[in-house]
Amino acid sequence: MKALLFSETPENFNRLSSMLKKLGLDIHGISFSEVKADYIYLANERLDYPSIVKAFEELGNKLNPDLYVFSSTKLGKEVASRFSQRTGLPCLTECLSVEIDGSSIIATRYSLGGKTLMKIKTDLPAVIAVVADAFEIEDFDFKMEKVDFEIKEADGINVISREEKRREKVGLRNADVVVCFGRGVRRKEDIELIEKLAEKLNAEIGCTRPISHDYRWLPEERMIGLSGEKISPKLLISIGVSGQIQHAVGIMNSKTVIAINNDENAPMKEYSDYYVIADLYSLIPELIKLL
Amino acid sequence: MKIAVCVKEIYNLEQVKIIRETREPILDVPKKLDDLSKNAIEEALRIREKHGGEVVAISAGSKDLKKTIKEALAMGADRAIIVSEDFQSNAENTALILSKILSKDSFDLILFGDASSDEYSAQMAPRVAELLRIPQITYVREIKEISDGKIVCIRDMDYYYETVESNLPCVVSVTNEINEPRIPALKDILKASKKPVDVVSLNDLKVELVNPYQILENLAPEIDRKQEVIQGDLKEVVKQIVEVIRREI
Ligand SMILES: Cc1cc2nc3c(=O)[nH]c(=O)nc-3n(C[C@H](O)[C@H](O)[C@H](O)COP(=O)(O)OP(=O)(O)OC[C@H]3O[C@@H](n4cnc5c(N)ncnc54)[C@H](O)[C@@H]3O)c2cc1C
Repeated sequence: MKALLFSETPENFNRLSSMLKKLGLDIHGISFSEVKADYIYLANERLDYPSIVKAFEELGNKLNPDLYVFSSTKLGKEVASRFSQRTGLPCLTECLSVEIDGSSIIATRYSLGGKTLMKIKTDLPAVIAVVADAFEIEDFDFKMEKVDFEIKEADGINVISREEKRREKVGLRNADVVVCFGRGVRRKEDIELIEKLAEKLNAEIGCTRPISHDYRWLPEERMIGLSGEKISPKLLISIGVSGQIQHAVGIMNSKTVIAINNDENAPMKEYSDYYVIADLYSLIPELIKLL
Repeated sequence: MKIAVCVKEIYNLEQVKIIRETREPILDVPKKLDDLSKNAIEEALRIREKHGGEVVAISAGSKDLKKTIKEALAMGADRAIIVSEDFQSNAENTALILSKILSKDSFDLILFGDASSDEYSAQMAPRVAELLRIPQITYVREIKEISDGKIVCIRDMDYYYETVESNLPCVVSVTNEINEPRIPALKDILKASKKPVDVVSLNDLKVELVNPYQILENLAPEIDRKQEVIQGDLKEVVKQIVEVIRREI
């Protein structure tokens, strides 16, 4: 069986090619830089959906892959969806795992905002967008044959400019201790309080989506949840976080959870081992003193 | 400007409980308009305030949608066109239904939320754009300008921001951060029930529904938290927390 893979970053690409190799697929991959695959279509960088959809159509017609694979980034999802609609092939995005079952695939993905995990089956050929972070890069024997390939410009939209986001290497995913805060922290200056606590505990700092995406107080890499990092520390201290399911799904694998909230009945309670009802502004300074 | 906003009705997820033994969700809960749909409606209303025109809410959903759609009308949409009957719900079918409704009229701009907060699959805007053969600008955090039959938007992507221009008509999907959706006042809620809602049937639309997906299971993971409450005298509370911390690390 054959997969046609695209990812805009070599890291995601390699994670997904490892995942696909494990499933026993021959991997043809379009990439902008050196990557691991059986057949590497080293292409000029184009990040606009019309061109990538067209390139997939062109290569798809030539190769007849069983599986069309994207990383489940925003670009990956928009291309996967449009390509699926154009070709009439079924499409699943935000896949967390994929297995082949005869002439079908079975994928898992979150449903109901993360309350449940759905196992869903569809026939091949199919289009999938897979959360690349869920897979490790492994050493397989790829054929590593290079094929010249050009992604041609296609009509649609006109990209005027692009500004790279400031990215930080954040060790949230492998951290033993995480201190996560939400909108209970009212001002940017108050993050200092969280930082002091994190320092005492040698912890990584995480946050909810409003903190990183609305207020931009922290880089997006620190956001935990459905659309962010999934963490699995020994200890999570969650401060001023309401615990909406889209956030809570990211903390499910924590061993012990302490939550601090001044609302005696926030949804966060259900996801906590210890639910501390207190004002964070009075509690955290005292906590820091005692540690 | 004639603006269509495609909105989605979802279960009120906060109220969804899980059956302890089987881990199945109990879906016997009220429905509501999805958060991201509200961002899309809000953005449409702001465009209407600036450029004039009409905002039409469009949706395909269950029988409850007749009620749920009122939320969009209360926010300020002028009217709605909906399909409100039971059908096999999947991205293909919904996209087909929406595009059939949309193609009966000529909209300058078609807005969506970038994903829905329940299934989070982000397929709808690109699918509808493809069916209508018009361009899409997804994950829009800011609409910079609409003029001379063109729209300029800033997209919030994983690794970069991107400023993109497209001709109208065009599909735009917006992020949760693009705006703060207004909360309708009581008088707006009352007014909403007088606004026109055109209920069209799948029969009239002549859509051929498909069902390429088979859901094998949909279960909640085991959450086994102690849920021990700590409260009271601050000194005591702090001491207890420190004990837990010491034990765990
Ligand atoms: C499609 C979609 C995807 C999403 N993905 C994510 C995601 O990946 N991650 C994520 O985090 N969110 C995500 N969200 C948003 C999510 O639904 C919630 O809106 C968000 O997590 C709430 O953040 P919060 O807890 O910081 O804020 P709030 O909900 O406002 O909660 C603040 C909490 O702080 C408490 N508090 C206030 N003052 C104090 C005080 N002085 N002391 C102690 N406690 C205090 C309050 O009681 C409250 O419980 C998503 C939403 C959508 C629609």
